[in-house]
Amino acid sequence: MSEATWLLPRILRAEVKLTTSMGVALDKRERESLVPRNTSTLGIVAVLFRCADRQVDGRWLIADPNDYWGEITEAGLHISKEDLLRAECGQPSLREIREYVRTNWKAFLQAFREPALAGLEPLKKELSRLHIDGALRSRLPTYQVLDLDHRKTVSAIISAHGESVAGQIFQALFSYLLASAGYRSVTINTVGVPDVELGEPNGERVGYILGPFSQDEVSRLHSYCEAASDQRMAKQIAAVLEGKSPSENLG
Amino acid sequence: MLDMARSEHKRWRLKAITLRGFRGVSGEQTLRFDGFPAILHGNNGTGKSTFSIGLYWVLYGRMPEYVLENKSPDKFLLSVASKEDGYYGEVVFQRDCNEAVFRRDSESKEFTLKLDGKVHKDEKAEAKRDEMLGLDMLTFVRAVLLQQSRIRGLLLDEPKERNQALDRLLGMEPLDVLGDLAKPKEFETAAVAWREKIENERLGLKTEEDLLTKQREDAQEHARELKFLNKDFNPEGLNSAVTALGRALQDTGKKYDVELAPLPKAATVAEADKVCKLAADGIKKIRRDCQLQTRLAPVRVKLTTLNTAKGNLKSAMDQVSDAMLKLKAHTKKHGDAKEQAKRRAELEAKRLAAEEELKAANSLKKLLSDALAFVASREQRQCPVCEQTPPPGTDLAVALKRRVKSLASETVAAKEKAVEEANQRFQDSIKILEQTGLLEKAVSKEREWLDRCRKEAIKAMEAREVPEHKLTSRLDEAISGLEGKEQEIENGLKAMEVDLAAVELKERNIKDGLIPVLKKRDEIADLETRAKRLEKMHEKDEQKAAKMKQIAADIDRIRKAILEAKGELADRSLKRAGPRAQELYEILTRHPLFDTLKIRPTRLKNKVEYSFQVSASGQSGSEREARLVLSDGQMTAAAMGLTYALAETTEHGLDLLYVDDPTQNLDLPSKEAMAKTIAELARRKQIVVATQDEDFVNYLKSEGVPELATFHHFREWDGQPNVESSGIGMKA
Repeated sequence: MSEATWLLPRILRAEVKLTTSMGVALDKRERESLVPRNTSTLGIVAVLFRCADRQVDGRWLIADPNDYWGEITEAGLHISKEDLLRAECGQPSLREIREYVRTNWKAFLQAFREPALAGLEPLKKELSRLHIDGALRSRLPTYQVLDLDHRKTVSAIISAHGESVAGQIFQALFSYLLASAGYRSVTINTVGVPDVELGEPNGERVGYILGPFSQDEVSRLHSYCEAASDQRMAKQIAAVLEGKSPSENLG
Repeated sequence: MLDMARSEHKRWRLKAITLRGFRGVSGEQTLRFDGFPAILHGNNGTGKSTFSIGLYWVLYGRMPEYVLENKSPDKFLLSVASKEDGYYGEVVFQRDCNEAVFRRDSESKEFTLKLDGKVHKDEKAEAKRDEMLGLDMLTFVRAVLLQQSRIRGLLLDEPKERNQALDRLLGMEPLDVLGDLAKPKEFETAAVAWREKIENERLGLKTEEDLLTKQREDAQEHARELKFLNKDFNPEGLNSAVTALGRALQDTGKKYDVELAPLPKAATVAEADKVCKLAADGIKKIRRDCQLQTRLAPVRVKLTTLNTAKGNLKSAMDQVSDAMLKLKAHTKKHGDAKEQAKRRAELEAKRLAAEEELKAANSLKKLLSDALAFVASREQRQCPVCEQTPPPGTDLAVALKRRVKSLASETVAAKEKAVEEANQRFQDSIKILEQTGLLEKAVSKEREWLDRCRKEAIKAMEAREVPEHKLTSRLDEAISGLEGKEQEIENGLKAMEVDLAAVELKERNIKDGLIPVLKKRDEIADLETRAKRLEKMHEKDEQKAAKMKQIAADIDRIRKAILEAKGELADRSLKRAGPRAQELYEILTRHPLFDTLKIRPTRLKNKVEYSFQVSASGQSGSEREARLVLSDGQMTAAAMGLTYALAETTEHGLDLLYVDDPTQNLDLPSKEAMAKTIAELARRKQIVVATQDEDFVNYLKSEGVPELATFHHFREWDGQPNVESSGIGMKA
């Protein structure tokens, strides 16, 4: 399993969905739960498809619902497969998190195939124990998991437990997959919103998602402002880099 | 009148046409118009049409439409009466005091326009021409140079052909050409083909994947029979199995004192194959180099030596015993050598004695025989041997004879037999003695061999000295000891074979069970890689398909726009020309019932169709398809009216209408009506009419056209037209 190269937001919130149709609905409450309170929080929606489309089946499609796309109604947001695929092209700030999930998801599912087939509780217990021990990664196979086997595993889990329970199983797997990138705290809300909240990032890979820019890019922007003697802008950017409001450094 | 005839000089009028070496003009000839209307009349073949063809050729460098395209222009346009290679034409237009001179030369291929004192050449001249005349070639043919051949289509029965004829009259050819070009279907087909390609390739991949999946399942099933588990069916499982094989091989090697290099790791099929080969080599090495095998060889060698020694010894002993038994039996029968020698001496003496006796008997016999011979010769009464007188009555000779005979048959024979027997016995005794010698020699030889075998056995036992009587038992002991040792080693080897068989089984199971599964897995992985690559290509293909689809949609929009434009243009032209067409229809056709002409375009999905209808004073319900109710002549007149109306209402820079043979197919009243029309036209624009119809000319004259126009009478043709001109132009 590769190390997370992306900057972990301090809090990562996610609505995690499994669908056998061509889209999912995100109600108002769910959508609102993903609205970031500050620059160090990230809200995403992750959808796992199994809709007889080999191009997306078994893949997590991840998007930021706060960046407008799809069809918004009073009831909430209807997100189609095409919306998500478009969002993948149009939300570069999530590029790294998507890459992390894409690189590790097949191996992660393969590693926890047996407990996942056994049921939600055994799986959660196993994931939680390994997460606490910091041993999630040690379980991952070193070989390349075949797409064919991966799709079969997804189908097998859905067949074994039904779509509803399978949805929770995949929710747990997705949560701990992201947690394995470096989050100590994993909260899975079976009733409330959002579905998943990850916090307490460890290590130094903690950063912010600033629109389309990574923290490194914002740092470069900061240095350019300084070089250009735009001190006001430099101070504002420095505040953002410190996790504060841009105006805080202006006194 | 002159001013009237020259009115509308805001636009260009034809001043003159000059031709040289051109079709019906062999030399050079100029036909002057000077901006006036003109009537070119005369019999067929006098060169009238040469000037309309010349006008068209000079302006546009083309032949008339009715000449086949594949004909060489030279063949058609060269003077029919001269042998010159080139032809030339000049057309002069005038407007107020200005002149525009167009020249075209077939030899120099040069086209020039002299305008405002400036000479324009070729493309520039063409551009200037179009700008000056305000029309293109098609419009010129449609609105200036009117030929009845263009309306023939309207008389045809096929609606499609009538539509085409109307298209031509309305100048829709360019739009039709564009419409023909705007075909979306090819692009739609291309889009479908791209998508079919994608689908086919996806289907191909799916089929291949299904096949590989099935093959992998079969391989997995077989592997499960060999005790492999699902978790083993991946590179990690393969490596574990290979590691276990390596461990088992190492343990076995260690157990049998064979040092083996550890087997490498194997995460791929190729590596696993290699490891299996190494394992097989390792197994061979254990078999070959194990201590048991090392120990077994000398034991077997020694055992062989001892068994050979034992065998030899036994054989030698048997042979000695046999020889001795034979000697014993011989001596038992014939006594020992001493006795045999003694006996031999006795028998020799007896033989000698017998021989002496025989010798004596033979001597006697000879004596008696000699005596008998003597007696027989001398009749002696006294025995010459004993010198005694035989008893009386005895015949000496007979007695002697009897005596000799007796000696020969009995005594000598007995003596001879005795000698022979003595001799035989003597010879036998010699043989027996010799046989005894041989037997003794054989015994001696066997004893020597036995002695050697004994020494060999002692040597084989690696002993210094063994008493002879213990030799066999000691040999047996040694052999038995070694056989025990051999058995022990063989048991060890059997146990090793069991161990090696277990390792071999592991190796074979990997080779026959796990590797095929992993091979299929690799093939599926390759397929997935290929599929991903293909998907990227499919994205491009999909873009191409979308582009094709978009182009098809665009073309369809263009096609619809062309149709729309065509419909609109036709509608506008027909509306503009409508009143004049109606006016001319009434004048030229004079139909007692259907007095109203209406031509309307109708836009259908893929084309514009025209309704060419007549009705009784425009009353609804009285409309009829003109072709169905008008005669050919009436139809021609109606079409001519429409043609003139369209030509008149087309805007361009020429105030000229050049009409070739307008009375074809018309009856006399129609001709008269046509003459009135021409006269009416000649009053307000320059109209040039070419006709062979002298009735029509007379009608024109009676309509006062000579006051309005120049009459060029083409009287005859003698290599070039012989023209007699009269009328207003001549007066001017």
